[in-house]
Amino acid sequence: MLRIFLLLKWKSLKAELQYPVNFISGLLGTSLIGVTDVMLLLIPVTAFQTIGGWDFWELGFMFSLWKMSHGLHEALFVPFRGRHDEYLRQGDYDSFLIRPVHPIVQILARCEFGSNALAEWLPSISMFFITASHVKVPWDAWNIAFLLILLVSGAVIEWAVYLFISSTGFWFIRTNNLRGIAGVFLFRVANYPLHIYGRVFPFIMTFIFPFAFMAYYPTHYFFQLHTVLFSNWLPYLPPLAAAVSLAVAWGLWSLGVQHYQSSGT
Amino acid sequence: MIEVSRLIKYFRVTQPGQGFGGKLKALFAPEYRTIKAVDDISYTIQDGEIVGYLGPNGAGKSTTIKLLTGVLVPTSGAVLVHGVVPYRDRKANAYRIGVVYGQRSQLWWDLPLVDSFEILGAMYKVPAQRYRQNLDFLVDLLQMESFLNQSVRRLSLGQRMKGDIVAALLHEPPILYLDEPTIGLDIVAKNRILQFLQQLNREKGTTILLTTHNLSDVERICPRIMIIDQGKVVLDDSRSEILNHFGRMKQLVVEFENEVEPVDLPAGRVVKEEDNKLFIEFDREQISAFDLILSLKEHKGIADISIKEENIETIVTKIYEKGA
Amino acid sequence: MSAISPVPGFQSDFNVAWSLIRASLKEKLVYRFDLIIGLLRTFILIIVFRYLWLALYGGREMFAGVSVTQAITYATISMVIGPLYPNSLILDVGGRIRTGNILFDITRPLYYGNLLLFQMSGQFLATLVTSTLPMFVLALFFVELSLPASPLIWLAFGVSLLLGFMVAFLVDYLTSLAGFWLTETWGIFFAKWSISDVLSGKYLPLWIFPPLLRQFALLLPFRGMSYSPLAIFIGQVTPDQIPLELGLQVFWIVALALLGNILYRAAVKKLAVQGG
Repeated sequence: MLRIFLLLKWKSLKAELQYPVNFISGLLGTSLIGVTDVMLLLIPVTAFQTIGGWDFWELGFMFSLWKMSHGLHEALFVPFRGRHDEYLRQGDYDSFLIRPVHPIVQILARCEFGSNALAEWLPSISMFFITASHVKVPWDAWNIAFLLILLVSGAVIEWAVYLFISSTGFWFIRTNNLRGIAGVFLFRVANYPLHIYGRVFPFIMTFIFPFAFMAYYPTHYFFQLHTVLFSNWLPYLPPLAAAVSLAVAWGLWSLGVQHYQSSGT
Repeated sequence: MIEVSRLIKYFRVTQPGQGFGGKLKALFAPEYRTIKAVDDISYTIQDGEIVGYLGPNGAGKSTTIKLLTGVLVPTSGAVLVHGVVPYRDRKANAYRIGVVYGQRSQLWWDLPLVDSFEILGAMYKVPAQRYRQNLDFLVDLLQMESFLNQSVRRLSLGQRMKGDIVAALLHEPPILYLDEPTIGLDIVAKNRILQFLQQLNREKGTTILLTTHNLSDVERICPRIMIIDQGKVVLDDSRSEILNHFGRMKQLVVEFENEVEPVDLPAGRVVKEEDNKLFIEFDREQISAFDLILSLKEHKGIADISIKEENIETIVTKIYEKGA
Repeated sequence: MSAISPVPGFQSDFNVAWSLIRASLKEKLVYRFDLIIGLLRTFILIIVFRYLWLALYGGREMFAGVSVTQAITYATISMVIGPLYPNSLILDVGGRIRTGNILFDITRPLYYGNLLLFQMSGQFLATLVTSTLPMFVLALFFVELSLPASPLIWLAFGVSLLLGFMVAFLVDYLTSLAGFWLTETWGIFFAKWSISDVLSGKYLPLWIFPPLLRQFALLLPFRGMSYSPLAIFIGQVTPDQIPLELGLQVFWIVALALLGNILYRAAVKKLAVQGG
């Protein structure tokens, strides 16, 4: 399995490098999106010093967490966000279902190299190194391990949300709108601390699109802050949130495949 | 051995409403209509057979392939492929079959062709040496050296089709399904592929099931032909029998420069006149197309002559007529 | 927003424009569900920025001479008018170049830029009716807005909005021409999208930018897209300054149109030399 992924990534990287100009322009262009998100954070903070009581360090750290998780997601799970609709529409599932490998794994195996992922890492890792020195916990082995688990959990949460949305495609064909809405929550709402948003958004970001577990709650741990919302346990629960979201999404997907097999497309 | 017994696949489809009131009603109280895609078919295909599955569009050919490969679950009835129920034991079935879809590719679009093969080889767990052997064998037989390293996006339809065939055979499945593989291909490419399938069957004993709506495809290589229409098998017989009864009559289309002019025919008769074209039907046993065309060569006002294939719809109609 | 293939055999520019506009409207109405979700998406964005401003001001009444209600109004109206502007021409044009369909577009007797303009205008009108107006009404109910008192300001806003559309279109058009030189257009698309989103003041008004960045942004055409109409609307651009602001927009329209013409000629020449 791993061999197939590595093989694919390597092959598609080679294919992309055939066109260096395009590769570089793609890389630069995609990095600029990350820079925009940084600007959307830096500009208000420079003008107003704090947002919702959080200062530059806390905000910057939170930003770097979700961006890095997002980068990991782009590197591993992106076909469920972008191309699942196509697979359904064009009947690629007919090919998936006749091979000896699980369809979800096969779809992941279509995740080509993606200079996108690389581009997302540039602004996020820089921001991380800038703010990491200001956290209130030491960077010992445990905390580094926790950080890595967080990044993986975050990527899985994002994947689970898109898997869920893609699975509705088994019934509804076009899912790009739901994806658009999820995107707004992920990219805009998550950019600022959740507690400025009243009651509805925090609920959505915790229990429906659990993006708050990607960075907002974990930041409380690293800066030793008290959680204002819901419970003080939440900063430690990202892996649980990831597992639950994935289970729910996978369940819907399984139902979807059954539906596909009885009704065709 | 592929065993199909009393296989049925019905689809329930909602009826869209007509007009505003109808559409509103359709939203809350939808009406359904049942499409009988596969309507109680039974047959057995022995190992090593090449079977042609012929039928007009919408007859249920693709649906049957999907049922045989386990992509679709039957409404009722049974399918057994080498003793395996395809939609239940998908993994076991997967190693035994290869599928080529004429209208869709399973290759990775942006990568060189050979990379797709490597990835699939890994997916099917083909040991390195066998992979090399199989690849060399297939590439040689299909003459694919020249474009093996091209990205799939840039291949012509014929080249891509060859790629899909190799992709389906890398793991040496005993059974190969092809769903309309010759669609859109030119005569040369078509022949190459049909010839290849014959060689494959001869050398490796692969069971081949080929669907198409073109009689001339299957009459070349399929000793056994099944004709289906509206989900039912209307005829299941050997090639020679079928050709004897239906493939005999062919049509010549004579296109005149200006207007249709009367012609003297040594055999055959005029069945239709349309614009500046004349449609002549003749019996292959009585006269060959070549001779018929030759007889017209003295005629001055002719712009073009072409041979029209008997199409499956008319064959099916004739089958019903004979039965009735 | 997608570029539609134009109807062949037209008589005059007006007929073209009208038929393209009708086509855009129909297209929008077919995807009704899309429309509603689009509205929902804009609404969520409005709420996000409303909360952001409340948090930023944190009880303060004024900042940089602007009240919290004005800031919220700026952000809200920005989200309301956002969908009106073309953004992805480069993807459409790039696609048409790759398939070769671009040949139809550039060999017609209509200047390609005008053709795109008509198509985008059609989408503008369709979006205005199906998205902008409903969104504005919705915003009135849910968000505290400070609307201009004088009808002249409304008029100025309307004019500035139309000019802003032209600027946005030209910026998008110029970007799309890059498709004639590059085969992978996604990088440029993302770059232009990000840069214009920040520097046009779409999400954050220019007056809270750090001084250097603000000066830089004010010099670029992007301000003509969002900042101009929005600042007029909330009064940050005072009535006596309005003519200047509108004049700036017009200046950029002329300059970008000229640039567009030059680049287009170069692009077609390149195509003629290189083939497909």
